[in-house]
Amino acid sequence: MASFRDELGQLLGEAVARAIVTPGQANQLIGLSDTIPAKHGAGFGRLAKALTLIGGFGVALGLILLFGANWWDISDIAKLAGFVVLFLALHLGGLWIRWKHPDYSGTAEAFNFVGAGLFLGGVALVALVFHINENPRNGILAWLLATLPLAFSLRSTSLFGMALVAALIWGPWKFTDFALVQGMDLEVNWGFAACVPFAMLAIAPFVERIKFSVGTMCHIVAGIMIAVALYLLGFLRHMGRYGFNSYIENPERFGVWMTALLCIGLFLALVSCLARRGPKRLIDNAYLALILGTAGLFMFAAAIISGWIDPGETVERFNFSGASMATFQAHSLIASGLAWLLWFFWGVWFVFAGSAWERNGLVTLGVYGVAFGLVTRYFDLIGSLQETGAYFVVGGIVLILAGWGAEKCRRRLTGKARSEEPRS
Amino acid sequence: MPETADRKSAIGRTALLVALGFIVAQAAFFIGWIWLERSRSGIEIKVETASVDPRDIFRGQYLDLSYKFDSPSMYMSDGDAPNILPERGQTVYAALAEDWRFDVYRPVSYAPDPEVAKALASDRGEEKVVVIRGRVGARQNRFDFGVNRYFVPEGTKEPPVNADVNAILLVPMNMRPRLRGLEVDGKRWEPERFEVREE
Repeated sequence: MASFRDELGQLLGEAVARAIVTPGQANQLIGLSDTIPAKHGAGFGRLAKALTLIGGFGVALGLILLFGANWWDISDIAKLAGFVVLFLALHLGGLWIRWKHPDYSGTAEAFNFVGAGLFLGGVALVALVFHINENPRNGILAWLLATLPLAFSLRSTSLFGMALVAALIWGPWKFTDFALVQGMDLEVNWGFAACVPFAMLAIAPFVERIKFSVGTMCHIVAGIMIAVALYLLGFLRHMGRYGFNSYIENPERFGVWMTALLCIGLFLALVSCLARRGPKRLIDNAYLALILGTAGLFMFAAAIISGWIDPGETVERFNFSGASMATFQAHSLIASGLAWLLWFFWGVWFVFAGSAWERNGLVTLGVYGVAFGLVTRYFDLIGSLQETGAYFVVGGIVLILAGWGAEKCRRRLTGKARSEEPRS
Repeated sequence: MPETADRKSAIGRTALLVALGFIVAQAAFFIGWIWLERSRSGIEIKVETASVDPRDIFRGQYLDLSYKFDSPSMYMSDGDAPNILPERGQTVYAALAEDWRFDVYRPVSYAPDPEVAKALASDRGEEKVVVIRGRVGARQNRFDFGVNRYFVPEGTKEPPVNADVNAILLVPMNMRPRLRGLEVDGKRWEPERFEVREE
C-alpha cells in the first residue's frame, strides 16, 4: 500500500504537469509533509488501537482460563476479592491513561470496555458462589445501570454500545414479565423486538448532536437487528409449511401487538427521515424507500403468521438442498422472496452509499452482504436447479449493470470536479 | 443515513472524577452485596428434591434441582389445605411445615399473601411452618423459588443417580430462600473432583 508521501508525490506530479503548482512549490509541499508528525500515520494509529483491544480481550480471556483451571484450589473469598481487584485495576488503569496520556485514548478505551464487561462477569460470579438463581434480569439491569453513566461521563462509544446491548437484552426480557402478568402471550416480545430497530433509527439523528458517536451506534445496532430479521424471514416459507401454531401460542394476539408496535416504530423512523434538513439526495430517498419496504415486509409477515392474511394456495417447489419436492404456502413463499430481494437491495444500497460518502467500510459491508446472501440462497434452493440458475444469472446481470452504472456515475462526478476551477 | 463526524474530544478532569465516582460506587456495590450474602441469617431447613439433573453448560457445571413445592398440582393431594393460586407471573408464597419423622419440610399450602399461606397451614393443624417466596411461571402450575440450580466447580463428580438428595435452604427475613448445600443419603455433600483413571 502506498504511503501518504508517495500519494502526495503522485498528486503533485499531476498538479505540476497541469501547471497548477510550480515544481518548486511541489518540492516545498513534499518537504513540509516530511516534517509533520504521526498525524498521517493514521493507519498505524488504527493498528495500535486494534492491537490494544485484541490484547485486552486476550488478557481477560487468559485470566478467565487461569481462574477456571485453578477453580478448585481457590477459595470463594479469594475468587470474589480477585474479581474486585481486577475490576478496579482495569477501570482505574483506563482512567489513569486518559488523565496522564490522553494520546493513548484507544488503550484507555480498551481497559474501560473490558472493565465494564467484567461487571457482568462479577454479577455472574457472585450468583455462582452464593447459588443465586432468582431474577437474572436484575443482573442485566445492574449491568445496564453501571455501564450507561460511564459511557456518558467518558464519552465512550464502545461503552454506549455495550449499554445498548444490555438494554436490548433486558428490555424484551422484562417485557416478558409484564406480558405474563397482563395475561399476554410471550410472543409479544417479537413485536417489541421488531419495533426497536426502527425506533433506534428514528432517534439516531437527534442524538448525534451528542459529542460521541451515539447516533452511529444506534444505526449499527438497529442495522444488525434488521439484518437478522430479514435473514430469518428468508426462511419463512419453511416455517409456514405446517402452520405457525407450533411456534406461537396465540397467533392472532401476536399479530395485533406486532402490527401496533411496528406502526409506532415506522412512524418514528419516518418522522426522523423527514425532519432532517438539507436536500434529499437519491441515496437518502432510496434509504427511506428501503426502510418503508422493510417495515412493510415485517407487517406482511406478521399478518401471515397471525392468520389475518390467508396462507394462500399450496405450491410445490424443491425443498431445502433441492433433494425433494415439498409444498409451501404461497403467501409465506412470497414473503420469503421479498425478504431475499430486500436483502440484496440493502447490500447494493450500502455499496452506493459507501461510494457516495467515500466510506470504504460501507462498500465492503455491502459487498459482503450481497455475497453472504448469494451463498445462502445457493444452499436454500427455491426451485429446480434450472430455475435457481436462471435467478442467479439474472441477478448477476443486474449487479453487473449496477456496477457499470456506478462507474459511469463516478466518472461523471470526477469529471465535474476536474472541470471546476480550483479555489485561490 | 446521515453522515456522522468522527469526533474525539478530550476528557476533562471533572468528567474523569465523575467516572471515578461511578467506578468506586460499582466496586462498593459488589463489596456490599458479597457482605450481605455472607452475613445473611435466617432459618435453615431441609427440603426433599423431586429430581436432580446433572447438567453441563459451556460455563461451569450445575445440578438442576426440582422440588415438590415447585409443582403443587403434582404433589398435593385432594385432602390437603385448599390453595389460593395467583396468576402467572405474580408472586406466590408457599408454607412449608416440618415433617419431624424425616427431618424435612414439606409443602402444605400456597397463597399470594404470606399470612394467608400461614393461616391455611395453621387450619390444617401445622405448627412449625416456614414461608418462602417465589413466582408463578409461564404455566400456572409451575413455581420458581430461585433455588433450582446448585453450582459446582467444573469436573465435579455428581451424586449417585438413585441417592436420596435433600437441599439445605436458608430462609431469611425477606422469605427468599437461598441454597446453602446438599445432603446425600443423610450426609452433607461436598463436591469432589472427578478422577480420570490413568491407563
